[in-house]
Amino acid sequence: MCAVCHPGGGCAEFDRSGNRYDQFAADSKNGISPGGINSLDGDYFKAKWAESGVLEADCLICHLKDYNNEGRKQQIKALNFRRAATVGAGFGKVEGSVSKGEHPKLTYDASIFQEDGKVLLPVVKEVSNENCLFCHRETDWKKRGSSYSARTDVHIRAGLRCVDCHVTGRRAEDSRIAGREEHQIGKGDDPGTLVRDDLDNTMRRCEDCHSKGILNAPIIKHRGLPPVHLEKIACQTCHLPWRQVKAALVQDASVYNTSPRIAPPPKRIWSFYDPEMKPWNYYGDVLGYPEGLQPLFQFRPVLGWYKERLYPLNRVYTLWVGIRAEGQKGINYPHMKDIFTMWNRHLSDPDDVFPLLKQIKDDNLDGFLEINRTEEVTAILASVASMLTAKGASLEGKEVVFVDGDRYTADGTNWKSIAKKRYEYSPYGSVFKLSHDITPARNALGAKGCSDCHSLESEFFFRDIMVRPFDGQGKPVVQKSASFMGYSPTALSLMDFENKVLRRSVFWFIFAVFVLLLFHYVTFGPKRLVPQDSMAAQYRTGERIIHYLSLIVFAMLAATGLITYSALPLSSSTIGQLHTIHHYSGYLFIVSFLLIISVWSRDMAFGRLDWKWFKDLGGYFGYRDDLRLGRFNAGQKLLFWMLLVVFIMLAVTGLILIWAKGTNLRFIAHGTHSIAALLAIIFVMGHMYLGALANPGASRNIFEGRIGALREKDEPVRKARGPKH
Amino acid sequence: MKHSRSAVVFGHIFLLVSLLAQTATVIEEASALDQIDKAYEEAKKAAMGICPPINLLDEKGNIIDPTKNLNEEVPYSPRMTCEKCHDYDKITGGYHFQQGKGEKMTEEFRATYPWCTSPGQYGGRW
Repeated sequence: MCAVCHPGGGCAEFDRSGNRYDQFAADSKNGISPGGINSLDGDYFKAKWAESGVLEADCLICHLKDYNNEGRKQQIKALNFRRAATVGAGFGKVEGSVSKGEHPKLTYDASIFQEDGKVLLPVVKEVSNENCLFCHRETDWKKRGSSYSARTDVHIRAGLRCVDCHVTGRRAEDSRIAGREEHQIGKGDDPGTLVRDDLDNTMRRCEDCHSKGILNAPIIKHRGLPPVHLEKIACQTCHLPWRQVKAALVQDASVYNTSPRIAPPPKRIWSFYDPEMKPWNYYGDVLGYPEGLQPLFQFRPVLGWYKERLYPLNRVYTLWVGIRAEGQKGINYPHMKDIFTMWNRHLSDPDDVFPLLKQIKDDNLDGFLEINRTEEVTAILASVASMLTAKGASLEGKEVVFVDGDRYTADGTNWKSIAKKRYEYSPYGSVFKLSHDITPARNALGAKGCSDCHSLESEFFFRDIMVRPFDGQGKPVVQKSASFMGYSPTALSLMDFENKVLRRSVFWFIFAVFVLLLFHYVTFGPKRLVPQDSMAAQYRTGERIIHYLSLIVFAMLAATGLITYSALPLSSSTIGQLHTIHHYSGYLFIVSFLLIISVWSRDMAFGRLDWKWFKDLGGYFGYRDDLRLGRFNAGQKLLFWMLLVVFIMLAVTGLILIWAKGTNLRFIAHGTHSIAALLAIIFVMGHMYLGALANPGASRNIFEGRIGALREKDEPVRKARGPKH
Repeated sequence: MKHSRSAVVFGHIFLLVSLLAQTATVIEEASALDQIDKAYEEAKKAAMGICPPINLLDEKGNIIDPTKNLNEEVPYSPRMTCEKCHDYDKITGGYHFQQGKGEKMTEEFRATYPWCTSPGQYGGRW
């Protein structure tokens, strides 16, 4: 079963002690009996190595165009290992099989030999896609929903080959796999595969081609996309918004599958479900599509966090019967063929052989049995325990358990949890990262705008994903995708508000304030309360410098903030540069605002004079009398305190956005920061209007340090304003 | 003329040293030529790009040639045939061939999957 995908060599050629199987078995001093128990040594248990030969590494399975992989598989199934490479290469035919106790006869095709007895083979150095797909097509359909065809993948449509990304040998640049005849093929990093994890991420990355234009790959701009997306979200997440063919969601190894065309028979103890939790006869289906082009089936992949980035994943949920030993952390598994035999015998005589299994019903009437009720669990547990005992297995210190995802039970009532990683259903169900069948860029998430994801209606956050396949009625238990990704309803509501309301209306708000201020000026005009014939300083040099600094830094913050908040189609790197300016301006602004607080907060306490100012609305709406002022009028004081609150909000949320990693916190901080920024801009617009237009001379006050002279009756005011008055 | 004993000894030593030096030079030059030959052979292989006409060999290294009734019923051995020019052991050290064979499992892996002896696809979780 395994050998049909294994290219030979390695464990197909040598046993765990490093002996070549056929030579070790043929040597009589080793006492290996063909087809015998052979001391239950897994390398020689019921094997016929001396007759079958071994599977040497078959170079031509990859490097020969038109290699006959089906012929090789037939020879392997017949246990004609030694002859498999000859048939696969098309050198000859074989009759007879070791599995039937025959001595196979090989006949070469003499036409492939030259006169000098040599062969000239159409060998290729760089492997074609078809050779890779001999092994990877079938398994990746089931595990990943990958079709590897031009109709589903833009790279294949563009003519790329597997080896263009999965480089090796002298074409590789990574020192871990580079070198003449190195066959460590460049690979990604899959949570479900644990072989040679030290070679993870040795293949070409997306940006290797899409930032340099290798093979005419379009250079990515990601217009309008803040770079934080590229840090937190893998390329595949947006560029694989849909899967096009099925992948297995559930593998139920506890019941028997009577669907047709499942071979070999022991595979009947695996019942698969598709992404919609409908039964899927995978082994029957796969026979109909050996060349690929599988039936189309669109579904959204689950998105999960793996190594702090969001990836599309296929997580497999498993149900099975295990054996737990006291003091052992893991759960062991009975022999697959024993579970199969138990069910097979029961179905041949349900009333007398393992009769408890009759209690297992198809509660949801989907055509497959499922174990979802207490009595069904106890039935399978008792049956398996009985089967094991009848075989002579000792259950002392052990218990038979039913494993349902990330929990198990020994009695159908009391469940215990199994520790698992965040992205998996359980450590006993693989998780496959999806990286192939990339859709065109115009179909990527975000191509139609931020609402593709940042919306309460988006499937990105709010589609249902399965938690458990079967509740008491056999129906799936689901949760929202956002919940699985760890997002809170509060954070998402704020995200939705920001995207739907704030982002679309921020410039309209600013425009409306501008119109209101213009209307005020046209209607009421500027105030004339202070004579302009002589000048006296009110602000010290240091105060004016601090004000200048705050003005410049605020202008930079407002400009960079508004540009990046707008829908301008800037490239992601440009947005990143603007963000950097914004961040450093933010640090400077914190410093400048602390200085403002230090020099002016004492003068900003409300006093007796201020209540009249409020009562008369500061004289800005047609008031003609003189308003007695302190060093700062009540309006300026009110502005100070409002800006203080808003700037504290901006500073705190800004620091969170720069430094915090938590996604919920960042969403909440982003929404709050945007609201506070809009308020700050509006307040400062009012402040600028009042200083520049509504109060003639006021701007000269802060920029040049001089105001008009005061009258005698304003002596209290003069004292309040300080020296030089 | 009578030569002193020390002069004779000195002369013999001188001859021996010069002989050794010449031998070392010859060996070094031969090694350098060997390196050049090897490099040239590698260059010729690289220039070919693909496999030239080759004999198929069986597991014992014997030539298979049905046109001359040589080993005509014996399957060809990829190892013996390809190993003539290629480093079979280096190539099959690749993980596609080894599939986790001999790789150490982490303690967590070993505890979670007690039936496994390797992190490879065989024996692990589905």
